[in-house]
Amino acid sequence: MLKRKVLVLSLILVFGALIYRFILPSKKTHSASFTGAKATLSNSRFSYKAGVATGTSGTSVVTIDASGNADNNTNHLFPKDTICGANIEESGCVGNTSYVVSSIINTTSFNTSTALTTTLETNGYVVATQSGNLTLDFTTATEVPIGGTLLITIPAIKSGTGNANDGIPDTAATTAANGFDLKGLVAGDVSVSDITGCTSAGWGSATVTLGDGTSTNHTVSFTRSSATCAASKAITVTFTNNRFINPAPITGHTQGQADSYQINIKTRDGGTNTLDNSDVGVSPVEGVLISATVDEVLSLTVAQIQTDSGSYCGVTRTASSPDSTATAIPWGTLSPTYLAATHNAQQQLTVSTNASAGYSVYIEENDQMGKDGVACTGNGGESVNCIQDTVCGGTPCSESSAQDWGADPSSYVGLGYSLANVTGTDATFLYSAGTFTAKQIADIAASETRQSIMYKATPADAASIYVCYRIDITATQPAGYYYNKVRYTAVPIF
Amino acid sequence: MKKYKLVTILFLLSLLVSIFLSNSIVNAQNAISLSITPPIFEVMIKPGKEVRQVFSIENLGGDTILTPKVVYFVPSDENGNVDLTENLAPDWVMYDKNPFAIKSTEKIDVSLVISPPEDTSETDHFLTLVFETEKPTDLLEDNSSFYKTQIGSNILLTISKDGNPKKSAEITTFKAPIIIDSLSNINYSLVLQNNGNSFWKPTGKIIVQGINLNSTLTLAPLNILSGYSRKIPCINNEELIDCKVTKKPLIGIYKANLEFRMDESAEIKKTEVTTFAFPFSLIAISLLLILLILKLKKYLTKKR
Repeated sequence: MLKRKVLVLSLILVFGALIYRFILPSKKTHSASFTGAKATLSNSRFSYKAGVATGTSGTSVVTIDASGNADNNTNHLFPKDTICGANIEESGCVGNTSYVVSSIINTTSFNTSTALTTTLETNGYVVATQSGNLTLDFTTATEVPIGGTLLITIPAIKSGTGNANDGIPDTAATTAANGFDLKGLVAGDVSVSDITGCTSAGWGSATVTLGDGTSTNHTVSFTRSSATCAASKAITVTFTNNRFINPAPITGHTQGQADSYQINIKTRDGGTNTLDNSDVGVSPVEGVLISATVDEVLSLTVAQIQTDSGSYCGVTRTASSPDSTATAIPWGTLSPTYLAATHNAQQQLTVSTNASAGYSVYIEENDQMGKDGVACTGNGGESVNCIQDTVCGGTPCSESSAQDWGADPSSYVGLGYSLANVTGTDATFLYSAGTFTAKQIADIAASETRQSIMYKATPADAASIYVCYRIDITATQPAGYYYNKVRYTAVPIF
Repeated sequence: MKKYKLVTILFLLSLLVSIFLSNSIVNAQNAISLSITPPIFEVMIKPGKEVRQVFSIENLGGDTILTPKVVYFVPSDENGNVDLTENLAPDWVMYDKNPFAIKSTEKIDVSLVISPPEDTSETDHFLTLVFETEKPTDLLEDNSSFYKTQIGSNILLTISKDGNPKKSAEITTFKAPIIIDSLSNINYSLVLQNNGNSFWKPTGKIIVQGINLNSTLTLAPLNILSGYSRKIPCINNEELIDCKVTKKPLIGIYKANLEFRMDESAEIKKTEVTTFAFPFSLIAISLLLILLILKLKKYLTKKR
């Protein structure tokens, strides 16, 4: 009797288990999650969408509304962004023209690089679209049978205005109501990776159903037309051709915080039963403009030359060479017998600038060297107690025209100068055009024009020259103390 | 005794340190080295308004005294060089004119306030803020040349009542060789004249088209001052270059269209030049070769 009861109970249990295993579960499929599921946006920057306050045809200044829109300031608008003045219907750009942001004026205004050709609609939008590609990676947990599907659901705006695919970035009060604009997405833009055990050919081409803007999201699906897609297969779905227009921030968004959107990936059997299912997040956020300001600067250094060796403008210095300072060349007591070592002195000028148009350094003298600073009228010279500016040679040099003064300048006494490049090629003439090709220093007292001795029409990095002075006198030069004042002026090219 | 030794060592050490320090100071004092920021300041202002700009002057040489002044400049050529005049800026360009001492490595900010009165005429003012070193003192009474150093910052100032000063451009020169050998490059020279009331920069390009060429040269956006003309080179990656097509022409007509705006104005100025390219040198070489071959042939025939 007991044995019978045990047998009946065992049969009931076995039947119960069989019914549970084969009959009841048939009403719901066992569903798993993908492993390693992730979504990557190639451009995670929010699109920009602000209300137009003003933007008049013929001007290049656009002012935006300071409230009530996705973007209410220019913090997330950067130079070189392309903007469109969308009309209120969001059916296109006003005047069918886009503009490039040249600079941000303040928190509500910016400049465009070209003047507006059409006045922007005051109820319209300033839009800077950010678009890119999407890549989905996931590994199947369950085999997808022939006839099974891969379904991707992408959030679309559900504002009721039907703007989910108009090419204008969308915004709404919440992320649940907002999404990506996929204007122009076609089946050819989406592909699935080709791997053994889950070939791309087996998926066929994508079926794209774009959101209606009122209640549905965008969906992209593939159906296994041949061969199964095995479990544990790492699959990549790629959306190309920059069809993903990122949403603008939701209204009330806090700048710097991402808005998170969920993209759903699922595989299904031949019916609607889910096999694997995962939500992956994408989080557009404001771009960050990394900027630094480098001031434009112009620097001039005048340095002494006091070494007792070396060649400067072809003249060798010795221990008896005059030592210049940054503010003077003390010739000392001059001998009427010219010696290269004692009648030549030098200074070094160095200029740096990052001014785009470059710089020029000019030289001038207040007068020729006069005895006790006496004014040197006319051409100066011994007769008026002056050491005149040299004429260099038979063909005279001047403040603007250089001539070779030769190795021995005794026939053409006076004061003159030449130039040699040290770093760069900024000297305006060179001693090496002859033995000692020289000029006079521009004499301001004689209304001569100051001359450029260094010039470069582009930025200069420590460009350097030697300014080589030479003096010679005759034996009849009246005794006394002679001096003049020379001035270097460094200014940028305008 | 130990204490005495310690004091002696410390004294010697401090002496060494002071020697090294004093040497470096002397080296710094050997040069005049001045930097100015910004080197150029472009501003447009309405009469009755005020703008303040700070210029920083830094001394990397020895201690010195600087005297500031603002003078007018005039362009000295068509390349952007300036000729400083002795004419001081109007008194509504305000700054502290007193000389000031600046120590080695010191940086001093100098404020310049531009405040043209209501009745100021709408013209440009081209000024240079100059800092000049003090005159050196000669103690030895040696025959000498004394040197003063000036460093300056150019100020391009436009006075405009409505912010839209009259801008006017004239293409003084836009030329290229009429006929060119096919082995040469086509070089364009451009000089623009500003006939308006305000300085501007050209924004534009030269588009060269021909049988084997379709090249665009970008004009350098250099300032052209009102009443003056300026040679305009081209620009490539921030570098000024000659307006030259690097690719050599073949044969035929090569048209160059110049288009530019004054700053960002809507008006576009246009003109066109035409160059005819012909392979003169190639033909000359070919003829020469033919002649040589004929001569050689003749010579060989005679020899036989």
